Amino acid sequence: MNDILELKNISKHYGKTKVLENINIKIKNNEFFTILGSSGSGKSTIIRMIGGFAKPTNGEIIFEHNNINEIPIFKRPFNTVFQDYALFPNMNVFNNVGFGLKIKNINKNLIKDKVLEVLSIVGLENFSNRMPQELSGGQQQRVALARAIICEPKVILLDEPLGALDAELRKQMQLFLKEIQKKIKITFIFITHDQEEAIFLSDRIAVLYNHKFEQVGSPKELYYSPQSTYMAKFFGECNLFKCQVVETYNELVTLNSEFGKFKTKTNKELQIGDEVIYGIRPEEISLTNNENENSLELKVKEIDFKGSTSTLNLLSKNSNTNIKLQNISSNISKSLSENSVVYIKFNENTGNIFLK
Amino acid sequence: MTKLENFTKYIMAILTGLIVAALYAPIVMTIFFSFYKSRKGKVNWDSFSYEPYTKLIFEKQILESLLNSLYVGGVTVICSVIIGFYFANYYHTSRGKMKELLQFIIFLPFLLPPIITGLSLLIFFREINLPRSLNTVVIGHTIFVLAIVFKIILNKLETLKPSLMESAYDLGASKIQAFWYVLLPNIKLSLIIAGLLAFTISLDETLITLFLIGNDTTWPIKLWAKMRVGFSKQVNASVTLILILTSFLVLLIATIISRSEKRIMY
Amino acid sequence: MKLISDYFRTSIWTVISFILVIFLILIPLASFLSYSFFTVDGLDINHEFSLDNYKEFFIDEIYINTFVRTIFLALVVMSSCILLGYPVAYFLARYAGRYKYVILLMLIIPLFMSYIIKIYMMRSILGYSGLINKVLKMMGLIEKPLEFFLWNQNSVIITLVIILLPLIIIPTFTSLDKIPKNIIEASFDLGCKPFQAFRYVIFPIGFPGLVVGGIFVFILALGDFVTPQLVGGTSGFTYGKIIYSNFGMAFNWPFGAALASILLFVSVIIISLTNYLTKKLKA
Repeated sequence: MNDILELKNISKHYGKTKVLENINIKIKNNEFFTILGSSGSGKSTIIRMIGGFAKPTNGEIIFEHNNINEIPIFKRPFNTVFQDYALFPNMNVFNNVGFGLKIKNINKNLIKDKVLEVLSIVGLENFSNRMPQELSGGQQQRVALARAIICEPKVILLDEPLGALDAELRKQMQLFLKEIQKKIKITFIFITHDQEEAIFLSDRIAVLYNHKFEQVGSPKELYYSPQSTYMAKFFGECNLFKCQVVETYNELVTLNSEFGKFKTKTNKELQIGDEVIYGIRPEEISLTNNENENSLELKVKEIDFKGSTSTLNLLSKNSNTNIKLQNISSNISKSLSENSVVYIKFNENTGNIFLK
Repeated sequence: MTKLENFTKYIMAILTGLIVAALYAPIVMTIFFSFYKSRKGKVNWDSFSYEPYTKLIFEKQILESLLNSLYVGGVTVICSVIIGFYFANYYHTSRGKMKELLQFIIFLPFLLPPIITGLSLLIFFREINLPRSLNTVVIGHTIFVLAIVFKIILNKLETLKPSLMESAYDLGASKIQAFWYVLLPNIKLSLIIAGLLAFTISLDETLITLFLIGNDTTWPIKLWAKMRVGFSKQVNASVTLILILTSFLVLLIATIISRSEKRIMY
Repeated sequence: MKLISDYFRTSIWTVISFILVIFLILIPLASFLSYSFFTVDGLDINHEFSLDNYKEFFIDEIYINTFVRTIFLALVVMSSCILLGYPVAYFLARYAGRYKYVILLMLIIPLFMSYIIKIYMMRSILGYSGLINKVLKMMGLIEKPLEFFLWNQNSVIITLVIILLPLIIIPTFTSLDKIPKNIIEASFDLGCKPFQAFRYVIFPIGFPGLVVGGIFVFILALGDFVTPQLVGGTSGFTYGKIIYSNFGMAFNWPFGAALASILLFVSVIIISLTNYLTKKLKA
């Protein structure tokens, strides 16, 4: 897949306030790319700069190898789906959708065919004559999308389009967006603050933190190979604790922690004596029946019964540091009680080591 | 922004400036001529004096007309706010088509040319043998400003949640208590805004007043009468004072509105 | 029982409120309409039905001519107000930033400032030795003062425009200011050049405000009788002035009422027509 859009060293300042600092990404053709960040992190600013509504303070926006910093909004081959849809209140659905073509002086019959085609793609064939005010939130969303699709842009920018919808509708629209993106094969740049939404929809996700991208990658990469402790905690839960390297053997290292010594795999170059942070997700820890070479001995602090599975909160024997286990079969956990001693084992392949 | 857009923007800015100047020109001139004398279109720059303002005290007719205007304005405010609140409340709480009809009728005097309102009341008062006086002027002003007062109060009522009054009743308040302790404090500002606006309009109303005034005069009618003989400097001085009063009232209204909007925002 | 008494109380108030509007608004209107069918008999009103007043309106050319001329005058005033006021409202709503409400307030204040004084001062601005002539002379554009500005239709038009301008700016500004920023951005996003965004999006959305202001200005200009009286001179008299004179010196109330009924009729037609057209335009 080729790169279609590139942001090179983009910075954006409003007066003295720094919003973005040195943003670099390459977005591939036809991918569903999500920018994920908390509100106020500057994610909308990125999309507004791509769309042409705001200018970067520094850096270049490159589209198909050309710098487009100075190209005005109406000449950019991108279309935006706005957060609150921004449908024209003076036009019905048909005219809203056909607007982009009408501006380009395209033949009326051709516009009609195209509009009906696009409306059928978004499932609103029978709503041509409705005014935007007469539609539900989800329907307005579809019109906004149809209005963008019909211009056949190279990139569609979606600025938190599902933010205003309730949970149920949001799920439906996520599915709908994903399907439609596959169908029409246009690059989507999507903005959200919702991790689950990002994981469900995206081919790749860029996580915006502290004015820059913390990590860019596929949902699986971000989940299984976080590059920082921030990223480790960002998706789901993660047990993080301090360790010291006591032995290295090829890619296998032995770490010493408050819970005891254990082995794990890593591709990082480590020296004996290094202080590191080890992170492991709760579902990657398993209970073992008895003590063995690689197991750790802990005591139960809390058992959280969740039906067929339970969540365990374990305490190190010597200190107050605790560790969390998930998806433990309730069949097993019911034999445990507070303060009973258990043995656990970390999955050697899925733990992550972060340098301090 | 394209060059053309920039250009039109500057043209519009200049136009705005010119229009502000044009709107204020008559006013500024009035204030100017309350301080300076002119003869045959030439200003005498050495003639500055604020004497007209002190002499105003001896202009019995002007003062009387001013007092009459204040009286008419004051009573108009009381009548229009009470009736306007009642209608707004009725419109807000009742269902059915009658209320639409009511709103239409209230808006008639506001939408039709003032001359129609003025002469229809004039004819009506003659038919029922009600002699013209300041009080007939009050009636005319009240029905003229009623639409505005009604709309302002109605807009406020519509922002209140229905549960507001319901919870007051639920807690055992009587109708009067609920009105006094719950509804009134919540719509207080809109009543004040409506009242101030009614007063400001009444103070300057001329077209309807001309038909309904008897032997008394209100201030605009006095000006109308004096115009044939030309304005003395005392008249200019009284105009300046009234201008200060109306600007103050408008600014007060604007401040209250912007304050209350901020309160809603946070 | 309580429900019934409650209902009864509400209905009493309803009755009272309707009696109030009927007595203060509808009956006066009706009595004025019926007067138009009466005649005058010296200083008395003859309460017998007759169509004489309407006949006279249609027979004597001067009334129809004045009426048509006044409608034309009101149209000129309205169009001038739109041409001058729209750019101002547009400028305020889109470019004036945080000063927009301050400037708007500056434009509103003159609306409440003495009507008579504004007209009176327009005399000294427009007159033979008035401000405009002086400025033009100083700039060397004219040698002799122009008589173009005072005691004719032009002075009536100029004065009414100055007085009524804020009425068009306020509603136009309000409707333009309400357009969300992202709707304008969306039009650019879909390929509009600035003028196209104005033509297809901003103007149509702001149009209802312009119509409201336009109607107000038109109706008020149509019915005004003070302005022509004070600056119109002999050639600048309008329909409103004729109506008023029938209630003053001429003392022919029934005829004045007939003339006013025609004005009322035309006003109602214009209001409902624009109402209908804007609704149709929306659909």
